[in-house]
Amino acid sequence: MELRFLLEQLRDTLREAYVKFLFWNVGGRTVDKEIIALVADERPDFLVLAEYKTSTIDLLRSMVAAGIHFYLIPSIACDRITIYSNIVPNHIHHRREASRFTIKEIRSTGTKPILLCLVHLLSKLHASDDDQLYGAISLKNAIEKAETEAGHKNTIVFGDFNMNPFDKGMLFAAALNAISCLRTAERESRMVQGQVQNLFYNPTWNLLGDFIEGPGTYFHKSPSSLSLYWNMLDQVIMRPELARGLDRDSLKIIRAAGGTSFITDEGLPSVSDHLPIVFSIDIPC
Amino acid sequence: MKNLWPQKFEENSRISAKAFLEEQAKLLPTLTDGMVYADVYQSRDPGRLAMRNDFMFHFDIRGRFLEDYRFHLLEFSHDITLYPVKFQIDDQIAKELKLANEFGDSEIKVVETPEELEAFVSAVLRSKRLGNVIGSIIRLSH
Repeated sequence: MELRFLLEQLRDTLREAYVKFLFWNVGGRTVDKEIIALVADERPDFLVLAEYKTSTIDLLRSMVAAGIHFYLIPSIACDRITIYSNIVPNHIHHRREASRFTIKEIRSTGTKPILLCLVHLLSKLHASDDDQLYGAISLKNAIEKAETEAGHKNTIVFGDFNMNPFDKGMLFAAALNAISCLRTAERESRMVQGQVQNLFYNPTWNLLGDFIEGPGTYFHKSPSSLSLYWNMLDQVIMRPELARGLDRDSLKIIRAAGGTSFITDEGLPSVSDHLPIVFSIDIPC
Repeated sequence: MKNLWPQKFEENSRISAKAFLEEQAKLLPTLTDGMVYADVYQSRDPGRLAMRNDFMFHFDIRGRFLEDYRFHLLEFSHDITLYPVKFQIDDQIAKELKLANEFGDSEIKVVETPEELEAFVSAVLRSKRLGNVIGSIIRLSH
């Protein structure tokens, strides 16, 4: 019993070196109470919301009142995404941005700088596969330019990609080139038709299927002959070097917080049409 | 041998979209006390606009005191004859100018003449969305 307690304490201590990220597309609904419960349960270092349309300042005030000492990271042009963090805004530098993504660089003392690219890409409901592929190519180009400007590739991309891990925009070499196997991604790049294409590792593949918990973050029933029902639209991908620091057990879909269930009795998302995801990563020194 | 060439060649006197946008870019710092500026640069990205056009450029908005920040306002491309020019603009501006539907999935505009170019660029630069972006950059620069 004592050994187990000590192990858990050690695990908690080790986790403190990790940076924890939480993403939720709240679907334009007023869910401040649920957000606060989620943050209180998960204690992330970064809370990233998509389609948050309520007052960002009111939410900040409510979080501070609940003992959650976050800062609101100012938005410039990407108002689809709202970012709160417990990291002082002085350490967060604004980089490339368009209406569907924003790239920030975190430069804290004691750890490597990291590029955070937060996305809310074109919806499958209103864009063709080709449009999504084009959007992914544009995003990849912006990320690579930001990496060149920053002088490093410590990059994490997460949010609502509006694509599944197996969609063209996620996998094509000229697009995000995000593959399911870290050992393969550790090659860091592949040569395609004479061009070097950098690889991302996509651990979100591990959340597909229903062996562990639920099979996705978004449910959509289509009358067409091909219907996936569950989709894993909310994902995280990262460069292989950072991926070595990913706490595998930490990557999960959240289905309840503060005693409130985020799903119906049938297991479908209820509070928002998306479920939140969370993950932790050890940022190397 | 018979000379099959014409007697002489006239230089194309129509202003290029790049030159036109560079002129507009130069005006931005004077309107923002030097805090905001624009960057026009050529790209070799194999983007959708460049597929049939030889020259492709980007137009980004930047903040003098936000050294690493770039807002990607638009990209444009044309072939060697300078016109037509194909633009792809920020999807929210496309929506505001009613170029795109509410989901922003047709944010492409083709202009055929310098007059159309001026009218289109004027609409983009005067859009409410761009005003908000520039206003936010100024706010964060203090």
